[in-house]
Amino acid sequence: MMAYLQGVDNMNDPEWAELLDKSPGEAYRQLIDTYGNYVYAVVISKIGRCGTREDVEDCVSDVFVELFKNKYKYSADGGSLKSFISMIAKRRAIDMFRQLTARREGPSIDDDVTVLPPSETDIEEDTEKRLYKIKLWDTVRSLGEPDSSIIIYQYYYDCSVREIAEKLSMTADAVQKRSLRARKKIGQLLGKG
Amino acid sequence: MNKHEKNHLAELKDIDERSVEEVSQYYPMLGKSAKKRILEKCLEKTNISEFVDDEDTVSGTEVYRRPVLSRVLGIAAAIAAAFGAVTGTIYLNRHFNTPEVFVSEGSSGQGALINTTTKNDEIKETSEVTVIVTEAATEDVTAEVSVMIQETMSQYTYSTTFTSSTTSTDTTETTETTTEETTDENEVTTETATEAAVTLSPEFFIGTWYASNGSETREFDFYSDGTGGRVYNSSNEENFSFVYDIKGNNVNFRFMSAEMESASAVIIRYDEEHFSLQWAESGMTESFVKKTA
Repeated sequence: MMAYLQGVDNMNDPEWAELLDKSPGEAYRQLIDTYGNYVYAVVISKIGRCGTREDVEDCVSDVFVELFKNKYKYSADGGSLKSFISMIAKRRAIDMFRQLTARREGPSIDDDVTVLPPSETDIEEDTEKRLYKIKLWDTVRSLGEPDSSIIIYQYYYDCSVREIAEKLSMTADAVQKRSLRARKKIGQLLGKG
Repeated sequence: MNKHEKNHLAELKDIDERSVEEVSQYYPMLGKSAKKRILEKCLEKTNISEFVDDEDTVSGTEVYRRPVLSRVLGIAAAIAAAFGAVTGTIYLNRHFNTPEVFVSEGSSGQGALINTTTKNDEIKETSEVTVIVTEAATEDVTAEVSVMIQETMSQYTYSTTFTSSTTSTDTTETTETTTEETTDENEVTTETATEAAVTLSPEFFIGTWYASNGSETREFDFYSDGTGGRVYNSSNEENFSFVYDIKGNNVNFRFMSAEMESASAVIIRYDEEHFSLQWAESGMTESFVKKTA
């Protein structure tokens, strides 16, 4: 019972594996509490453009079920539990992306995989793209609260204005106005850069 | 927001792992209701996945046990079938076996009846069904012959010959055949007895009788004392006397020839002016016709 109070982060390997065996419901609850948001963020970064929120939640649950099934394959020597979960989450998210794109005949994730050796132009573009992403992220974070949260919830999690308003305890109009101002500011900052 | 600006923000999803971790830490998405939904899905999939888990392993060795019971039952069935076949064969052999219904030659009607009854007893051993039929037939035969015996044996002794009968049909038909033959024979006897209004006694023979056996003709002159007579053979002109006595339908002759031979015969049919006898020694039948004045 001590492990329940400590949480999954503080549990050693045999303890949380044993907890999954003895009380899967409780183990799931603790894992979701601790790693749910992380898994959700990983999954939505992979399938956020082609899947619905239900698809994302479905994929998140698949990650924890797979963790349950492979609980004895995990070893602390191979990395932290968070790394193990991250690996499962990315794999399951890619599988889900393939399923969704195949179903909707959308873009394949294989399109992003470079089969041929990258040329110098590709490497240069890739580098510029990576730097731009970092800059974009830094720009969003530099907006300050609640504008950063509004932009992230709106464009990363695809939340509606009403949902964001509930999360941030604001009115929908205030969220709408702040979102408009934050986007203009991001454009200015990226334009200057 | 113009299109260019929107496209920039859309790339916000393509962040690196470090940024993903920061997002999940500082901008958590899951509320209580979302966590509950995911938890329910996990539990549901865990229960389902137990049945579709393709990572099940099989270990150990299952010992094969030969189906002993079915083998025993098979042997028992084979034995029962063999027993049934043997029993059936025996039954069919007995049932369809042609009974040799023969009625041996008897010295009297009663003797013939006894032989027939004996044969019916043999059939009785074969089959109960047959027994019922044959017993019924036997009762008929017994009834008819008994009546005839009562009618005839009270006054006369006679000899009746029944021919042996062998049939290839079933026992019931055989018995019926026998019954018919017996009945016919006795009917003849009954008719004969009815026609004979005289009794078979020494007085019956008194007088002159012409006798013929097919090869020679003789003339018997029975004296009025009822004990003797004289015989004349016209073919060889021999002439000698004889004495006789009657016991039932048997007649014993003692001829006073040179050989002093004795001969016994059985009266097989007779009436006022005719009688026939069969010589016991030769089996020859000789017919007598009374000489009328």
